[in-house]
Amino acid sequence: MDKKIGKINLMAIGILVAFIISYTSPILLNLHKAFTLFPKNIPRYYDVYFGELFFRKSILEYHQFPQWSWNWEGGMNIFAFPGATYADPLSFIFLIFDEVTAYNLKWVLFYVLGALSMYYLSRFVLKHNVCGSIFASIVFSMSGYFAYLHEEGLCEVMLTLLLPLFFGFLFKAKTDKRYIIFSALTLGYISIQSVLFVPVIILFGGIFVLIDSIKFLYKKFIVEKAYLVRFIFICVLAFLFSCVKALPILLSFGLNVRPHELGYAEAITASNTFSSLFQRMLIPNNSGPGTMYLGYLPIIVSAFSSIFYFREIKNFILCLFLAIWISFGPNAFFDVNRILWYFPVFHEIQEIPKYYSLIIVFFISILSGRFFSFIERLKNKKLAYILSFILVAALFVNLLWSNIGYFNSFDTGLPLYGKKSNDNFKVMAFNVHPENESIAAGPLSYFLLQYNLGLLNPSNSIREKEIKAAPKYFLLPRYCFLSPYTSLLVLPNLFYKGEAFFLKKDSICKILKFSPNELVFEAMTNEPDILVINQNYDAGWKANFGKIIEYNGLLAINFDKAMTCRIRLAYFSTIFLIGLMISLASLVLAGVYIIRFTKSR
Amino acid sequence: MLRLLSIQFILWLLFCCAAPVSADTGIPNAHEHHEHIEGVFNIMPWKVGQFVEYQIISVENESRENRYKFSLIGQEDIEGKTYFWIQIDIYEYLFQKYRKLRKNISFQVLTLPVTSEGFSQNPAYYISSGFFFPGAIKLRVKIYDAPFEDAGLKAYFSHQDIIEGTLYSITPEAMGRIDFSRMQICKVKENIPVLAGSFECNHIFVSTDIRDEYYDEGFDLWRSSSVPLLGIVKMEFSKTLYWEKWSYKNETRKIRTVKDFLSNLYKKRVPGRRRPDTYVINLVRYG
Repeated sequence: MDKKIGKINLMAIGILVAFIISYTSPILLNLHKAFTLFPKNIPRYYDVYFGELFFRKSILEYHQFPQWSWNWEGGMNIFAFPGATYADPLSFIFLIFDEVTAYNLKWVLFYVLGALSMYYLSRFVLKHNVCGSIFASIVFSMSGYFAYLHEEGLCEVMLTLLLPLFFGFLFKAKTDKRYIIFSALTLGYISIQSVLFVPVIILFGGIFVLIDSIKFLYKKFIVEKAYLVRFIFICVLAFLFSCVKALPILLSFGLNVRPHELGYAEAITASNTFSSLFQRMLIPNNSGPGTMYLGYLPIIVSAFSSIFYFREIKNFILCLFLAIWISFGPNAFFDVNRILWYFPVFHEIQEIPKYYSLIIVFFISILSGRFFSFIERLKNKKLAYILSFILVAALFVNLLWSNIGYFNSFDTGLPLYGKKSNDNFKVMAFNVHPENESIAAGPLSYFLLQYNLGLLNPSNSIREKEIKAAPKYFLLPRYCFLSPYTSLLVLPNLFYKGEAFFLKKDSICKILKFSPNELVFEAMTNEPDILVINQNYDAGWKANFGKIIEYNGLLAINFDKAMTCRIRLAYFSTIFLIGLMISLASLVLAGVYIIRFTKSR
Repeated sequence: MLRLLSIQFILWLLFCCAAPVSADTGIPNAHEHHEHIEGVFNIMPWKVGQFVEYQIISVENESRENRYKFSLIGQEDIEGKTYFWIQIDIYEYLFQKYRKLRKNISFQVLTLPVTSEGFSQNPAYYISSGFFFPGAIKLRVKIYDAPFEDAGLKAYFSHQDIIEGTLYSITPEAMGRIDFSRMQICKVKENIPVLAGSFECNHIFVSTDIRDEYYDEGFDLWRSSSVPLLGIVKMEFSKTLYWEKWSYKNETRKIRTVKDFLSNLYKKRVPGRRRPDTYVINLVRYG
């Protein structure tokens, strides 16, 4: 019997993988092409390509594991870049393939993993039947939510395809301690890249656990603390696992712990209303924050299961209701989001539907899967199977037809590389409009990095420090002269002194090596002088000679006497080392615990 | 060949490369076509002290706080001709904790004045160039609060290869083009309200057609001879109608058979953000 069930599950998994592969086939057929919704809309999120190209260049060209990015906003600890995935074990893909191909492959892999993790949750944790589990997996993985954000270039959402796996382990952690570690590992992994999604996931994980812990016994509400304590332990453990990335990011957020640039208006942009919620769920080929085309079928099916299985799935229904409520922002009778906005990280969230649609899609998937238990109750088994098959097939065809269109946009065929500059200078764009996507900091920084050039414009709101590094060139849109064109003019910075220079004219400095973690100069000075390096100051830099100081926010070395020497500066991020040690130690301890626990059973 | 050209002509050539519009590229002379509409291209005579200040708003209402100021600050007689010093100040509003208007870059350009006659003889040339004057003979540049520095005109504008070598050059922002041969002028004056007040304006435009290529853009220019310098009151540009163009090309197909379904499955069907890409220039102050 077990073998038969195993075979059925295996077959179901095979069908799911085939479905997802056919769904993502436009990506596989255009592996080397970058995503873009539309010629005019080159996504500003092209900075994901920037991060991975820098990682690839650093390892393959300079043979260094990157810690410092000299061409990101005038030099910055690369681990503080939320979109960077260097702590992801799957980063090796970027060493084998170029950043565009590797990202496309990674996306396909995660669509499959998303479907499988939902199958695991649905079939093995929530004990839905096979058809219900396949149905839930298709709804989750093939929903317009991921396809749209993928197309938008928001690669941070990719790891959230593992959300069902986290919830699956979280449910199991209630009874089995080993799953505390598994769920913490999954959450930690998601937080490596999906930084802004993590608080939302934790919020709903916490809500679910809280609801599950509250019991009504003897006319009293009783809170069972054990599950809540386990959940808190999961969050702490997830933080420890992901310290390698979390610590540098927290350091960055530390510069910006309270809301400043992003007002509350930005947070609630495109908040749901009843009309927009249904539009986002029911109108195919839609666009805009919160887009999550599901079609009528999953919604009708989950509505039915909510009625027929209310008692069993009431916790999921309540969570779904709360997710919808929060996504309404000020359009709801009470703005819950306003309270959340005062919490750290939550205030960095813009366009709330973008985040809460994930939770809505997730819970609708679960609810819709449950409906098939109702069909199973039919006396005529043949009819039940035919009905289930028709529903699954109809869902697949509908979502395939509606959402595959997002992947058919790989038609720009942006070439990957052209000629490269031997220089390492930076440019700065004046008066470009962030929403003008092609010339926003994200894509421009990527385009420039392909030629080894850096961009000084900030690409996100996290960094609050003013960039002090000087550009060699300014980029100025032609419209600044009231010309009706958006193209950029390149204007030299007449005050540019070089990437490394002495304050006094007679001193000479020659750059011998300019690499991510190491800079080498030949310096000759006839009197005490200061060597200024056109990079943001960071305490992580160490020199083999002289004392490193901060000069007008830039990295500098103080020469207290005349000399000729070769200076080597090396960057090492202590916070990265501490984070790495914590992550490794906690992983080892967790591994040991699991082995011992399994043996003792 | 370039060596034989004057500095003015080199700059003029630069405009031609960046924008496919120039005096001698076969663009019909607006004067010939619109002779019956009087005063459309009138320019208020230039005088030292005149200034105009604009805002440029991009898609999704962004950057409305940025300012662009153009002032006539002096004049010089050279070889019997009167040249004017124009100062161009480009301000950017800084968000984050600063919340202030920062002067990013300023130019002082010595140039021949634009006259009604010159403008009417070749409006496309002046509209496409804006204040990026081809007639300039001297240039000074200032960054932030640093003092003005003399810049060699030829050398200063000869670095386009830095960006033209990158993928940026194939983006629509870089490739946008206006077909000035389709330029039209409204016969009736329009009342245009802007931040500086309401003006009776002549409306000059190139309309965008959904059958055009992606990179063909249109513009609407409203100008008044009561506004100094180029008389620009309001201009809308980068009117690409991308979504409409996409929709025209793709959404007319209908799926009737399974074969249609399969053949259309791999065709692009998602148009992206359905939003206008239009930029708007508004007159904020003048004097």
